Amino acid sequence: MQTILVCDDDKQIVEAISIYLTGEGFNVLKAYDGYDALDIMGNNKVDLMIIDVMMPGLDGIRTTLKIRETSSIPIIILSAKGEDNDKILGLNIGADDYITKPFNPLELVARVKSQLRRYTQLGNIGDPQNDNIYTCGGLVMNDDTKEVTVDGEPVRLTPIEYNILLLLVKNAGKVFSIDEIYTSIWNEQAIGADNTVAVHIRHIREKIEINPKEPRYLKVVWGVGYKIEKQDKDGD
Amino acid sequence: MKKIIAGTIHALAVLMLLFSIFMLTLGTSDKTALDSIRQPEYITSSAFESRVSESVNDIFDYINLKDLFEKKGTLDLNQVIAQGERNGQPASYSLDYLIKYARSMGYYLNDKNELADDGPATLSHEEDLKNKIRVTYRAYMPDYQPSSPADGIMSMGQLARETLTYLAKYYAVRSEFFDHATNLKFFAYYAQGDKSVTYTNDAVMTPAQIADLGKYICTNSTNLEVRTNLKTAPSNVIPLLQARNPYDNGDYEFAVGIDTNFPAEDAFQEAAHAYDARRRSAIIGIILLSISAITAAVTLATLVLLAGHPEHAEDNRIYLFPLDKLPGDLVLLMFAGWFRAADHLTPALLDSIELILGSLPAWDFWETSVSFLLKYIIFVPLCLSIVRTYKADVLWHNTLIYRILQLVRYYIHAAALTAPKFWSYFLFLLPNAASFAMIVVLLIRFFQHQSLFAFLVAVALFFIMLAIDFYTWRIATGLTKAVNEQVKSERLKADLITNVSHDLKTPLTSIINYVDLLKREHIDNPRVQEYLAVLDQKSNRLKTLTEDLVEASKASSGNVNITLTEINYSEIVMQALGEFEDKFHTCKLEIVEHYPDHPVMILADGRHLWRVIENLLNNCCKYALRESRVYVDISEEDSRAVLTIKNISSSPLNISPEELTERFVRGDVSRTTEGSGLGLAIAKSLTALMHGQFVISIDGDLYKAEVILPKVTNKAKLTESTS
Repeated sequence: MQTILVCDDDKQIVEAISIYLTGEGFNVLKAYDGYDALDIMGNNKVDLMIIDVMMPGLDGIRTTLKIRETSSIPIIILSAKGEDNDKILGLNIGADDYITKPFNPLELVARVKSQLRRYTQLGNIGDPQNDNIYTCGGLVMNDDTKEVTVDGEPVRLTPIEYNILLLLVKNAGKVFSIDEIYTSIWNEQAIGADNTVAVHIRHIREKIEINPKEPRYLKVVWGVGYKIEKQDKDGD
Repeated sequence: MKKIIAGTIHALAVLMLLFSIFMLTLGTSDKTALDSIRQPEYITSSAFESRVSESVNDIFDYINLKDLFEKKGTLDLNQVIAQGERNGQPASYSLDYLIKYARSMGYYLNDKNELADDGPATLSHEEDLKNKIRVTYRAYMPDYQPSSPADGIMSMGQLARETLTYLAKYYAVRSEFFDHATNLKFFAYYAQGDKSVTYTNDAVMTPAQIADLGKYICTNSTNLEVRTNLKTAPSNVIPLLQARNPYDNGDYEFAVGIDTNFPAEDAFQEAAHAYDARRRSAIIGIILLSISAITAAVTLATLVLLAGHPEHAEDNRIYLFPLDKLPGDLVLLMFAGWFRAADHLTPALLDSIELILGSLPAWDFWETSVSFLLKYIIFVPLCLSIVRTYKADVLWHNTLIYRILQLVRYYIHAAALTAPKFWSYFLFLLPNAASFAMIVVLLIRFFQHQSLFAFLVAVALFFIMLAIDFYTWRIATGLTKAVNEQVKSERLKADLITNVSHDLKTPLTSIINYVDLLKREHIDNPRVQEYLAVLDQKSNRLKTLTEDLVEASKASSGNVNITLTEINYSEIVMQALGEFEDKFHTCKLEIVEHYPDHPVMILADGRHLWRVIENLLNNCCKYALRESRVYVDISEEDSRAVLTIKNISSSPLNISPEELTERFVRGDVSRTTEGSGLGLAIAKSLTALMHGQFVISIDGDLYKAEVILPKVTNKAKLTESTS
């Protein structure tokens, strides 16, 4: 059984999260401030931590920094601060994911599972030898079997969606405009107005992302195009 | 308490220091205090030796005068003292006559055997001058020979006075050696053949016994040297002995001895006692001086260390006195003024003390010490005040110079808000420098030509400049204050938004989570299910409302980061429509799009523009008539690109377009549909922040929204295409 440490100064929130996670079969440890969390981390084997930012005493950011000195377990920050700056700060100091309050409990559970899968399973898989396997974070595309998995979970894509995603994954980090995507997938010049590509992209996002409005892989660069976020190799 | 004790000890130490200096300086005639300490005994001191040497001179005076005035051991009044001519007649004058003559002129010998001239006189000096005589012989000047007829002409009074001077000396020496018991014994013996003469003040003692006294000088005619146990023997003993020799080359013996126990009450004993007392006081003075100097230094250091600190050691703050709030340089100036005042005050003060107590000995000492004390009383608190302000780290900030500099800085700062920095310096410094130069010139003129007009103009100029500077300073500080307050209120607003949003979101999270948990309990009661549905819906609406509210306040107060980049207007609209495809499908709305056939590049922040378009499209879904068409167009004007979204409202729009973009105003007055009523307000604020224009127009049921944004200029485009 995997152990998850939940740390928030609001006891009801900790209680609610613990109910959901227990329901999913996790063992839950509770902490109500940063010092508690560090204490529990020192005495128990913890597989994943969910931590609030604004807490009395030691806040979430400093706690995360402290934990990162000794441990590489997945850390999900749960915060009422939804500004881009806050998210960037959280992710930069070593958190693996950032969820804003109020959150959807199902999304939280999904993200917890995804982080754990990546940490326990994919993290141990060596580099794929096959040249036709493309990975980007937890997203793996096997061009031989045309299989797509996200954090180990298979995803079903239509051929067009698959081609679009493959184009983006092969060129991770590069931004493709709607026209460019259209030209390379349909092999013909885009004729004026059409939002077909945009619709396909949204469908792909709904399939591979936990929260399509806050995508981890397939990002919308508004007014420019779409791209797959280039991610570091696992385990780094 | 510690400070009071240290202060009291310090004050006492300073007073003691002055007292010890007083002890050391007072009574110093010819030697320093250190000298008297170094020479431990009177009989080895140079004072003693010089006194001995004086006494030896007196002895020879005595030998000389004894022969002159005495006959058989008593004063011979009939002895002829002088011979000469008076009015061409030879005349001789006895001692008796001369004394009487002198007495008639008011001369007499006082109780110290000194010649005084203020006795009752029957003969005035003018009358005496008429009694001219020519003196050819004077007994006290046996070797005198007149060399010319004019030599030796004097008045009777002068002769009498001269004689009396010698007589006074004779009496003085006699009283020194014979009238009282003395510690000094002498023996002088001259002999030739069977004639001999002896001068002594102690007939009982032999020369050998005299030489056995503590200190001695002896010699005789067989010896060329003077035997003595003094450090330096008087060098004139042998010449004097020979000069006084009545038998020219006869034998002589001479001995002087001083009983160093000083049993007799004479000048030696007195001097020895004075010397000892002086030495004791010098030693005590030096000890006191060192003790009080060390004490004063230590207590002063203690006071400096304690200054500003409260009684309780654990309290680390520095406490200031009202004096410390005064500008430091002003206090220094006041102190300098006090220094001058103290110098003037001291003589006046001492004068008034003298009036009460009588004349003070050692005026110089009192003057120095009183003016020192007056200065010191002010100096110590001032020093401590400076130490305190230094400790509190406000020494520099408290000075007038700092305040003036601050004033100038304020002025420059405020002026820099409205004009370039160079100009503000220029505008401040130039008039001030110019008027200062003018004032100097005028004052020089005033001093050179005594021109009152120039002086008045200078004063007027000074006050005008002062007034101008004061008002500019007022304006400057006012402006700076306003700017600072603006900045502060902006930050407060941002903080408020963050805090309020945090405080709203935290309970909301629990509400949403627990409503969800309740739903999972699968309660069979249909009414509970109904209630839960309401709770679920409303809590989610509250969530949207909170998020929108925060966003709206941020957008309207300008607390958002805007990063303007070049983006394709058509692209973002297509992307947005792609996102809304399903929603429009469920709302049964048909989209009619029209884009120019080339990319329309605008300068905007993609994420914020997406929020604007999202809000507009959301509104279409909420308020557009079912099974109608939504027209989305992008058109270009000269330097701007316009996105137009048109739709038919499902309910009658009886409010003005202006009202629609107000916060919390919604298309349906009943406000039953979901939505916060903030969408358009947010869209408008965000568009404005991107230097764009957001226009809503209503024509019957036709609802039209326009988002107008600046296009990328050709220049920018060109540079991009070449790069």
